Amino acid sequence: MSEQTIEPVGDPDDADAAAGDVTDAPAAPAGWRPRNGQWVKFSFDPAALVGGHQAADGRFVGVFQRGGVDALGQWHVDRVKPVDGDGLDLRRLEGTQVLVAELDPAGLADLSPVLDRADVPAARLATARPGWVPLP
Amino acid sequence: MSLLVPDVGEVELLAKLLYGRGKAITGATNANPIVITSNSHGLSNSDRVVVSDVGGNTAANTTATVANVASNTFELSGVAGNGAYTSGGSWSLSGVENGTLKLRTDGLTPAESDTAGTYTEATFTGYVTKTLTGKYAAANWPLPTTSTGTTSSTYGTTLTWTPTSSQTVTGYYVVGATSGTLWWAENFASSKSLSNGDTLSLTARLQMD
Repeated sequence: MSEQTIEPVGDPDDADAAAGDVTDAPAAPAGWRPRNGQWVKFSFDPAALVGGHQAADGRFVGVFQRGGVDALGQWHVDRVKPVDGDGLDLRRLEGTQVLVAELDPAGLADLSPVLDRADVPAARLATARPGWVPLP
Repeated sequence: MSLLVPDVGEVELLAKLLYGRGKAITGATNANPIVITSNSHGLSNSDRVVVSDVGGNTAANTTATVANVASNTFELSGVAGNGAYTSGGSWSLSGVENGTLKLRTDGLTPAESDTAGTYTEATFTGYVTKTLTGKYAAANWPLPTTSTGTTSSTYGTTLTWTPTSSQTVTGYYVVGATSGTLWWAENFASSKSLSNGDTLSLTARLQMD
């Protein structure tokens, strides 16, 4: 397998159509701005995120990463990294390349904080801080 | 780069690293209690300090409660001198620990719910953990600078590994060197495939989100 690369998966515009699949999706809290490392959920075309972990309301679950320069001097923009059922970055195999999904948060429909622990993949909860509760 | 601080608040961690680092000592009286001279120390009564490397009056090298603070001096409550001060010494706030930086190979994005046990540490040949010194030297964690609305402090030493086997690393995490508590974790913008003969250089930086 070749070196892992990161590329966007799916078209954020697809989320507009998929948004209708989620009923009564609560809006994000007024003035909410995702924190680095925050669990978030959003609507998206299911065909574009096959294997993605979904919250109880059907929305996909991921982790928000604030943009900037990393410790190796590489730049990245704000992004949401969808996770699979094990809480790992969602990947797909294309030929010999493993592609990791990352999405532009500005294009995500119904983006809001995860507020229920049960929406986080169980494998990540298994190593979570005792008493951790998601906060908006 | 934004950094994730799951177990302590960002402000608290920055305060510990930046302002818990202490200062140089230029005098320690051979008296009971010892009076330490440290210009513009900024301490308050009842602070706990760790004193080290004082020459001559070695009884000062201990952990003690601060009392009777003045601008440039403070007492080590209950600590009696055992000789004339000769040279050296520094103090830092008690409770400030070093950090241990570890490379990660897990395929996940750090989340605020994580602990150190969430991550998988690198194992390539030539891999060692790195110590981030949290105490005393201002060069370790310089006072934060503000750029485009974000405040950050960059660790003064670039950390380098030279692997002699292959492994893909995806990021790093930092734990308290004595507590083992996760301080923060970060993914690289893209993972790095390391091979024999490569060099990986990493610059740790604390940035307020």
